[in-house]
Amino acid sequence: MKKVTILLFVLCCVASLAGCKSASAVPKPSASAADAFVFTYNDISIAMNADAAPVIDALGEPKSCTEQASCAFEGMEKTYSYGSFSITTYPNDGKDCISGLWFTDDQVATEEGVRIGDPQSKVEQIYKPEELCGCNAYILTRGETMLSIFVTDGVVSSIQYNAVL
Amino acid sequence: MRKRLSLWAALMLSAAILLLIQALLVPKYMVSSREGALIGEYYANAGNNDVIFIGDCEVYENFSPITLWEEYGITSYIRGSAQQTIWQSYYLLEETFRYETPKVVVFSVLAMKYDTPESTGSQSRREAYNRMTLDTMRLSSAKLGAIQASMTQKEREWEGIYSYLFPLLRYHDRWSQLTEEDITYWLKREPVSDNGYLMQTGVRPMVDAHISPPLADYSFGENSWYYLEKMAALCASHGTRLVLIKAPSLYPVWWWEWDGQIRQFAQENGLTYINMLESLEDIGIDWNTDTYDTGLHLNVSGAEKAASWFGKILAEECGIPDRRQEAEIASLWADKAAVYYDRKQSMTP
Repeated sequence: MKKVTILLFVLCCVASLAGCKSASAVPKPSASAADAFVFTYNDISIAMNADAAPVIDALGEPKSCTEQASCAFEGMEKTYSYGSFSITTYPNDGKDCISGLWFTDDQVATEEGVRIGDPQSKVEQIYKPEELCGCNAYILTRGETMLSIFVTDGVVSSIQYNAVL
Repeated sequence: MRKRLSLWAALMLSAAILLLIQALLVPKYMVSSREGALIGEYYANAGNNDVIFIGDCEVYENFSPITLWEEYGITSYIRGSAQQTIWQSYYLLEETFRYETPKVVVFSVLAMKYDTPESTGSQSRREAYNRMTLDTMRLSSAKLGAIQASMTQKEREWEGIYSYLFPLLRYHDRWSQLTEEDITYWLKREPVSDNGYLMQTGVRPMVDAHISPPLADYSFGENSWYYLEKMAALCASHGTRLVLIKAPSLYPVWWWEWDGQIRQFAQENGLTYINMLESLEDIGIDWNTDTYDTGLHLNVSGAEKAASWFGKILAEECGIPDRRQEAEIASLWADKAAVYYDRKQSMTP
């Protein structure tokens, strides 16, 4: 009987320890991927998943800043607008990290030189035409970042950087 | 014989110990992330609800069932949970029909924006949201279906369905994070909602308009349509009217391209679709006073206005009866209203 009880006890322990992987294996976004799309504005490098605080400080006062609470979690997602582009952040381990950036006019360009208003042919010269996803967008992934270039009527209509979470 | 009895006793004791440990380690959702308690609260209130709301925070924070009762005599319950996906809504609806057959089901269509578990955001956050909906669902084939539909690919690879059926497998290492809340609510729970409505009493006016970047593709995904069609068919099979709504929240953005697709689906399937964003003035929403988070969700003042406006549609267009003259039901709802007003008073700053 003692053996049975000991066996059951051991089984209980094993059962409650199983699945350890789930909590610790949750992927954490890296803040400084070397191979990633980066947007540079006035010599300020803006990388996805990076700590937002130094970037926001360096960019100066935004034109507007809005906050969005999630349905149930602590912390706020924030959107900072700087005229020609906007940045979104998400809370992660007690700090805000950059989750996305999108252009709002033709005053800024990607590192590769594409801006809103450019013809589709220019995009295809710089990026691979086969990346066109069938819904008028070129979606390019590099490391943990994604660059999306939308084309409407043969002209670039939107450019967005996103972190792959 | 004695040996067998001893074995059974040892088995029962082990099971009891495991259950006690599990009860201690699982999140309680009584103080923090109260949304996680919503789904489990339904079972004590199941039955006699003429209207069931189903969906995410756009229902459980934007409509007050007490207002529906007081102004129209409508009995209702909100089966809402945080970032509830459409596949979860479907299985919750399937489960609801095992407890009661409402006259109307109101579904919040914002959930159509998510087509797969992976499309809802980061893996860790999706899993946490899944837990808030699934962990307190009673065991049934609907729960199993909801789990299967909700798991991300990574969850499938790591644990499969087991950690949802035996939450101890997921939370065994939470012992170092236990708080007073875990001890206080180890073996008991208190209602956090009023018939599924999670009250918020703060006020944080909308200052700047929320902006969102355009999307590459505004088409809802195949999986979303699949579950919406299943919901429509399920309601039809029970003789229940399905009403689709877009709640009066300003963010996340409800794109007009999405609105068009839902409008067309409703038309083709003989359903009612109401975009409450088109009636903000009629509803009387004041973004200086009726929101607690700059327009994303309504506070109690806004939720009462939204219910007051929507109740008229439920009563007049959907024919939901006024049950205030039914003594037993009236007495039950008088008790619910008393709890509601106590809560409102205690939460009002």
